[in-house]
Amino acid sequence: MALTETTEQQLEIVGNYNHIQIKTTTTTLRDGIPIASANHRKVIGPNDDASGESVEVIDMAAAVHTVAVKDAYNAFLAEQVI
Amino acid sequence: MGKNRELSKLVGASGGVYLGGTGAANLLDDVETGSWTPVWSDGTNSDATYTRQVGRYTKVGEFVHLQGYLSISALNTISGANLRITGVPFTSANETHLFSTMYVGWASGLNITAGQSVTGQVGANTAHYFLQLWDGAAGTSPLSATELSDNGTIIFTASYIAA
Repeated sequence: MALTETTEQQLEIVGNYNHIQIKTTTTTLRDGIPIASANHRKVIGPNDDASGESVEVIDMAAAVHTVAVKDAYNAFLAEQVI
Repeated sequence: MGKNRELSKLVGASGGVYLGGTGAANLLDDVETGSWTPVWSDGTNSDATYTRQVGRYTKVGEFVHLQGYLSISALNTISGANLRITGVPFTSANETHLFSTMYVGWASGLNITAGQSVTGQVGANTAHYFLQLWDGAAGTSPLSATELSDNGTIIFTASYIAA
């Protein structure tokens, strides 16, 4: 009986300001058959530091968190006064 | 056969299930559970060290419920008065002035005055909670790093509508 583990990362861009939602699913397999899985999530927003993330997330953040998007997002936040 | 026909009316095209009606507002098409890692941040720095840093989430449709437990052993470079908890699992909905709040049900090690309490709020299109302190006759003010302190601990729940 061999227990192994696989990790799959799914990325999606959400909302008007290109938040990157990261879903990491870890699956445990016994002799190649999945027996358990667990999700872990986080979000990288336009103002967040993506440098510690995977290469795919870093590349995606560089592509979608442009100066224009960051400026628009910060303007939106400034309007969100309670 | 009859039951199958009835069931087919309940299953949406995306694989969801219609409950209580067949309109878009009745379609439940997403249920998910998992973990998230809550992180203290001042908006620039997020290098605190922890003795407990635990989060779980449940998402049902667009509704997200969070549980979290954060216990700091050192703030390090976190400072100032705009503390937030980042790392939440989903972006909040894009709806101007749609805010939601959190409930802090247990705390220790904080540098606040007896009778004050900690709370938090999340706005639209964001992925963090701003922490607030109930410290005024009129309401809240932003929680500061000094008030959180180097060994502050909170246990909290929160819910919001996802994008």
